[in-house]
Amino acid sequence: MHLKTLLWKDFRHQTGFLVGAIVVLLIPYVIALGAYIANYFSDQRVAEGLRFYEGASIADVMLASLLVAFFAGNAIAGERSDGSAEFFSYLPISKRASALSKLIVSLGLVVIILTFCIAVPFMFWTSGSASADRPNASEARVFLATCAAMFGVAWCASSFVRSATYAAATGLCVPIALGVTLALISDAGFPSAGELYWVLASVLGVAGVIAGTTYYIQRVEP
Amino acid sequence: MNDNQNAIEIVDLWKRFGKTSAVGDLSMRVEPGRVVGFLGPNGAGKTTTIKMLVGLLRADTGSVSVLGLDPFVDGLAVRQRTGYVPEKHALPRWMRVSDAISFCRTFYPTWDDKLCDDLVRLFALDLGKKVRVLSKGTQVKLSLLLALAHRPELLVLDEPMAGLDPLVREELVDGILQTVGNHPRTILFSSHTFADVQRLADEVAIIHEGRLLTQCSVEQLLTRTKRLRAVLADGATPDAAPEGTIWQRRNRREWLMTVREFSQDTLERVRNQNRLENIEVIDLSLEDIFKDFIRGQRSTPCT
Repeated sequence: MHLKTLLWKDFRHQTGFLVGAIVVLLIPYVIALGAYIANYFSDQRVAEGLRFYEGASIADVMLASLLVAFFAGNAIAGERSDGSAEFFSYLPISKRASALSKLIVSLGLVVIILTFCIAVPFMFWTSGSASADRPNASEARVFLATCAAMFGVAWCASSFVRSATYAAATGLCVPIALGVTLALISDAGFPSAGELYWVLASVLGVAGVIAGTTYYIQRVEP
Repeated sequence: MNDNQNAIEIVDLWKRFGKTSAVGDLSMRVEPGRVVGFLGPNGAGKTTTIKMLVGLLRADTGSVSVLGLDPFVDGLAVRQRTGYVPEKHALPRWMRVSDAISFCRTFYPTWDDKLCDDLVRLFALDLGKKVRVLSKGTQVKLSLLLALAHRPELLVLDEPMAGLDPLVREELVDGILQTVGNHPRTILFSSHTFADVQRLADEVAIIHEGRLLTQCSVEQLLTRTKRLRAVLADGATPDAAPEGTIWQRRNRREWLMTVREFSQDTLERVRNQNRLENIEVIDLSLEDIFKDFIRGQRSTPCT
């Protein structure tokens, strides 16, 4: 019963970000629609209509991977920045239940958004109408590991700071920094370093969630 | 909680923030069913003490017991039996009044829907309004409703009425009195509004720089704390202030002193021990007594 109430509260807390995410994810399709209309009425058609939507769907996958950090970053720090963390801290709510609820909601929203965003280009690839190459297993692994790292680092930062923006920014920057560092090491003559990325990013994601959750449970709010 | 157990028991409590000592060697107790006004100037350590009582801060040394439990170790149990209204009302701005009520009632097995409805009517709360559009006074009313509706054994209020207009303050005090009147419970509340303290409190505890200056009943404090205004004889100097003097000031021949546990004997002793032209006894308000305690900064345990 408590968990259900907490899930409702945490979902409502993320509603603003969810609406923002939907708007952001619609932008590529709006641009694609504009391009499609312009293309349709032009004298020289440069591409088939579906190509525009395929491009929009791939852009959405990239955007969705960035949005992951915002949902995780807002989960804990968002309540501190709006002051409501103190209100919840003096209610008889178990910190474990609170952490579980925040994790379920933010992770759930991330999974739903990623699933929708990946489903569209996947349809293009399975229908055979896609112009872009279908990603191989290695690319998919890197993509998912990056999402995991962004989520874990942003969640961990969210547990420590008062600003959802800082937490999300940390979640975005750390995996990018990791990727750039490994690429430089790889270029410097250690080609196997690049292949380590997905392993390190996955570990970073899981460690971030564990560290952030442990700290949140022990911390006295606000 | 046992019948003879104190609702609040603080022993040798210390809390430091860096090099600053917010609470220093504070000891006090509140018996069950008492309404205690917790007074002190800004920075005296009231909020820090209250936060330690509700488990939002951990003491450096010393012990805190609330309803027989350690609020930091048994935080959930203490919070379930305690109502708390903080100085800053941090209700989630996106919630409607009805959402806040539905949300909070889930966590309290003792939630009383009838009392909640009564308080909604008394405070004239609009259930459909969002917290972000509520005035400060209405937010305080909602906070107080949420703290009262689960019939807590202990109610802790941290300057809830600061900055509110007199009408709202009166409504809030009425709400507290109505709830307390029907079901006696322990209340600790800090306030700078002495009229509210005098209306609500059975006793007052005055703290300064993190330590207790006095704790005793409002009636005892008002009836037995007096100011003496003496005019010294020409060329005379004050010999000795009477025992229990909490504050004194001399300005040329005028000698003012505020004395606890005042009696006719006190007056006679001052007369006999000093060369005076005349002396008069002045009644003090709670605010004057508070000011003199802080000015005097002397610890005078209540007998």
